[in-house]
Amino acid sequence: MSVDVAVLIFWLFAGVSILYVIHFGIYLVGANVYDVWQQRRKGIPSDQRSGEYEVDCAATATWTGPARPEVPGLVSIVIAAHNEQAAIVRTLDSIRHSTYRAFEVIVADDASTDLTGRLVRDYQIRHPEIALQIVRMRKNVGKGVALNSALRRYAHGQFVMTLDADSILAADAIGNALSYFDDPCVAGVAANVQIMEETTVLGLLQRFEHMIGYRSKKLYSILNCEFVVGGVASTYRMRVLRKVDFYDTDTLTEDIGLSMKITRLGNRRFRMIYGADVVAKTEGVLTLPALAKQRLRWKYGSIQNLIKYRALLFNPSRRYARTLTYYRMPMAVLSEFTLLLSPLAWTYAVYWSLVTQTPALIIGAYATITAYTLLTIWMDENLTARERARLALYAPTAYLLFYIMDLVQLTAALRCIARSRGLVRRSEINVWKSPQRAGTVVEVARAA
Amino acid sequence: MTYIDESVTLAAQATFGRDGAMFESLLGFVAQLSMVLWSLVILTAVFRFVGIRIYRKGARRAATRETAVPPAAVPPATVRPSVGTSVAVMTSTPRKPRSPRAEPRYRGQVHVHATSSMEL
Repeated sequence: MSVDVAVLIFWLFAGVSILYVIHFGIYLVGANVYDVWQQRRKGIPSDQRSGEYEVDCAATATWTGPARPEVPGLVSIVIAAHNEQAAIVRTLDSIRHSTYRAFEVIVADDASTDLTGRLVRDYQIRHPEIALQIVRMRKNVGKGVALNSALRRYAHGQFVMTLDADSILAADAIGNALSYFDDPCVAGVAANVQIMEETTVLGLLQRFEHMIGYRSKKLYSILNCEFVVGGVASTYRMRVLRKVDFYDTDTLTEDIGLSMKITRLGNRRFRMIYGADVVAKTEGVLTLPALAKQRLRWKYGSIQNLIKYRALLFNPSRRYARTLTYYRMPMAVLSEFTLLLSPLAWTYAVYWSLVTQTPALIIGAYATITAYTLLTIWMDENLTARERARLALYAPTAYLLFYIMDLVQLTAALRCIARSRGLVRRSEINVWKSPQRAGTVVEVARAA
Repeated sequence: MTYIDESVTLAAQATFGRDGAMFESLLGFVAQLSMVLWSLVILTAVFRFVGIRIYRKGARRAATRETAVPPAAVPPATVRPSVGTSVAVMTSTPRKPRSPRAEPRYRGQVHVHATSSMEL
């Protein structure tokens, strides 16, 4: 039996194209539904918001190991820092201005060789009203180990919020994050992370990417299939962290590792949710090589975690929502493959567009991406009218900008393949290097 | 210039027209699908704006009602523990007027700790 290769390629292309068009539409519809749900939720008093307590859900999670005292309502904000002198004071300032006051801050200083430790100690003296601790590692042990050390020994909170040293919190972020825990099945809340400054093309690209990426989380949240919770301003119940024994340190993205580890407990009773009103801002990377390096780390870590938690894929257990095991996880795996095939798919599409003299595909793709970007900007609840207008002006360039990101992602995927051995045989990660920060020396001078 | 008298048969010649037609039919289908999905998106966007407006108005009305009622007039009610209370403790507390969240202030001691990977 001979296989018609041309027909096979066509159906492969057609299948993936149709799947992504539908996926794209569902994204947008899901985000709209989430927005209404969010507004409705805000109108309900917190004591009426609670769901049903179950035997072993996030709020009643039990763990084997030493019991530690927990202060009800207290949030332990843990910041992992390694040579963050340019940004750490700004981060602490943003926490200090939080409207929710029951928090303690723990800076896990992973053997910084710059002024990070000194700046934090200065901050302790200048702001004695804040419960601020610094836990200093004697040698560089890696972000996951540093966070584990701080959490296991020094955190007293009922909740834990992790924050990167280059990120700032909105004043109402902590209070808003805690409101989601009225549901006893919520184990963790992902924040709405935005890029701080975007004066460059790369900055603008990251801004658009974050806006669109985080909007897609709305759908996943509504469908209860979110499993990727980043490290910036994500909030967890402490008892859930104790149950899973905190971070694993064998993958490059310990934050995604943690959220997947919690999801593995069963995402019906240990839900990950996206809080669009939990706003944090972070610095974008400044150069293309830095972006390529960051995306390699993210992709490598994501694939490591997908392999590590592959048992979730098509898992029929009733502990998991079907949307997670039969939709979200397979789509996450599929997207890695389609990324690799995307240059071939585009060559195929452009070739046939030229041969059949049909520009519909190119025009359609451009119009769809531009409309999606405009819609995302228009519906972003955290933008001012001025910002909205400014970003809308840049929206027609989004389609072209995303080509840069596709290229960066593709390069990262190819580099992951080149280092494929480490994807399966994972070793302990025990070093880290912070990317170049745009934080100004003004912050340092102010603190010194 | 060299002329070849006999005709050359290309491997894809027989299927070229067919493949082109298939591609064009796919484009047509995707365009129709996109139209359906965009219609759905616009419909839900309208619902979104209307829904948000309704809930916002409802919340504003409830807030106005609550400020009009003096707190003493509100009868005590048993409430589920919110995040502020431990799960093990069910308390009978008076219903509070809707506020963002109770905000106790925590003042721990200022500490500097040192640790090493050996201790972990």
